[in-house]
Amino acid sequence: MWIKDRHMWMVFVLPGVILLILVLGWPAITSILYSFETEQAGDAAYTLANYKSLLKDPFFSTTFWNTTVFVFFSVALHMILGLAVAMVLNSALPAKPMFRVIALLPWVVPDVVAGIIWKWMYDPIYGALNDLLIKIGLLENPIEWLSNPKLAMTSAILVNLWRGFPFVMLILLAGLQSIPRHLYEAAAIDGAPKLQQFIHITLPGLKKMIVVALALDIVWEVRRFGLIQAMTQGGPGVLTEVLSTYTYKQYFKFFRFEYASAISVVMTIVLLLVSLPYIWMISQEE
Amino acid sequence: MKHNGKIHAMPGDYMTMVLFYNTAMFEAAGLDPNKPPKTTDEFLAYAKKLTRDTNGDGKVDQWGFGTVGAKSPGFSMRFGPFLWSFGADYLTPDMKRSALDTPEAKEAFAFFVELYTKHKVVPPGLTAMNPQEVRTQLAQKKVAMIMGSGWTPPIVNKINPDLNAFEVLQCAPAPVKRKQATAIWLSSWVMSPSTKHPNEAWQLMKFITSKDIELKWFVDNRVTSSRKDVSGVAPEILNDKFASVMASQLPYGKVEPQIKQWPEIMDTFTTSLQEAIVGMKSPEKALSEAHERINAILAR
Repeated sequence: MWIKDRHMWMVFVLPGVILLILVLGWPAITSILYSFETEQAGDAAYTLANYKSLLKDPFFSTTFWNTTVFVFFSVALHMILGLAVAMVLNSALPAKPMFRVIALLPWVVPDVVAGIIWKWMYDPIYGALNDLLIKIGLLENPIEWLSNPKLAMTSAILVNLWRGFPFVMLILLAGLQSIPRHLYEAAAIDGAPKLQQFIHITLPGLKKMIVVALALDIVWEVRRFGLIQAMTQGGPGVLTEVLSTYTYKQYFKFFRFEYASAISVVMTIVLLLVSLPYIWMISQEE
Repeated sequence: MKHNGKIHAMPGDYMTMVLFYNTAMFEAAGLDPNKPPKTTDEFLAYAKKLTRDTNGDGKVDQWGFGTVGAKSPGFSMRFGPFLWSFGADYLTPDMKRSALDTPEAKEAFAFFVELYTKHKVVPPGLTAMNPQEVRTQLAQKKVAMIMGSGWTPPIVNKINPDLNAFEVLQCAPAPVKRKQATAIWLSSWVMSPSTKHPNEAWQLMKFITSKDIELKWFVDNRVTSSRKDVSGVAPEILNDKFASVMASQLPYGKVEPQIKQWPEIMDTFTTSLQEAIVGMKSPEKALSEAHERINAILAR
């Protein structure tokens, strides 16, 4: 054989490296270059014009703020609901596998499909949600979930809560199962109440898993696109416009490739910053 | 289709936007189905009569007019006829500036917004409505009138065959304020200049745009041909109750500006319209913001 055994790993790694360069490296570099170009000048001159316009674009600042609100509440609620469901599923529950599958179901639904389903459920005329709330007497008249300016963002976050909590639940459930049972038994013998056990055994035991779930969930929710695109397309007005839908619009609808690239570069920088703790943690383990 | 003396595309089909209405719902509301609304005032009066409580539970469950309010390409096709009929336009004739600061534009904008906010003749949830959802409202007898074209009856029929769309639906020219106007949809066949098979592509285009196939498209899908020797002579099209109305509107039709900024201009416009519809801003303020923003886009 002309390749020495100790160099064989290169052959195995090579296809992966090439693929990564093609599908990640090349588009990333092109986007960064694009973001410094202008439509008029092309790549003849690299300027900061797009970034300057970003700072002046009132829609961009609104969109940035909307994204922050959307991501903060989505992730916070994912964490709370995910942990609660994980603890229920980790307890002595009959028919556990069945409940685990049920809890995972929302996550299996692609987010565009989730958006379409919920748009129908929210519909003020035929929607199942209004119908249910009116029938049980909680509502007098149907609510315009996606058109009421005070409710639109909340409605979008609610759908995202339903769609996204199973992922956090899954990670935290794995974490819970790795906490040794005898810690709880010892604490129980010493007479520690459940709350104390939760604070001093469960939470510290889950720390790493929580960081992992937080980092991944934040990155995913910032990129969340199909859900909002299918439900509101950013409306009413720009109340539910987030960075992902705004970038999509600029690129694919308005053909402003350079400007859209600048937005996605800013988005990437923000995401890198928020995932630093996660990257740091992983690098610590090696 | 020619530009500077060179042929750029082969015309395919054309569509003009017209007002579709449910004759049975007209009768139930005491309106004559043979006398569709001609003016925007009549249209509003009809819409008010058609907005009612049909099952007696004290809540409105049927609305006069269904329309698109989402940021969708289908929006401008349905709003344009109103704007143009009021004597206004989106842009100046040279397409360099916004023309939305005219009194006519303000009037048209307020008319459309108030259909929802003041007169409540449009069902709730307008800002989230896409064309297919509006057609569903017509198919499910939730609304009595919508703007549509040749594709409307077959799609509505597919959504709810029980409605008997081809029988019960009727169409009429878009309601008039100052002048008859509507939006035109044109499709065309274009060949890539870098194709390796220009002859085959040309054969295909000739076949697709041939008399027989253009007529077959109408019979199968209600798509009206741009060919005068098809749409102007075929009895299937001339005697069709929908196609004849659409053909009568061709002289009043307008095509939206074919400029690169158009999608962004329309998105900006719809954003402002939605803000007026949900009551975040007054119609005047929303429209003047749209005017400024569109000028900024065109000045870029």
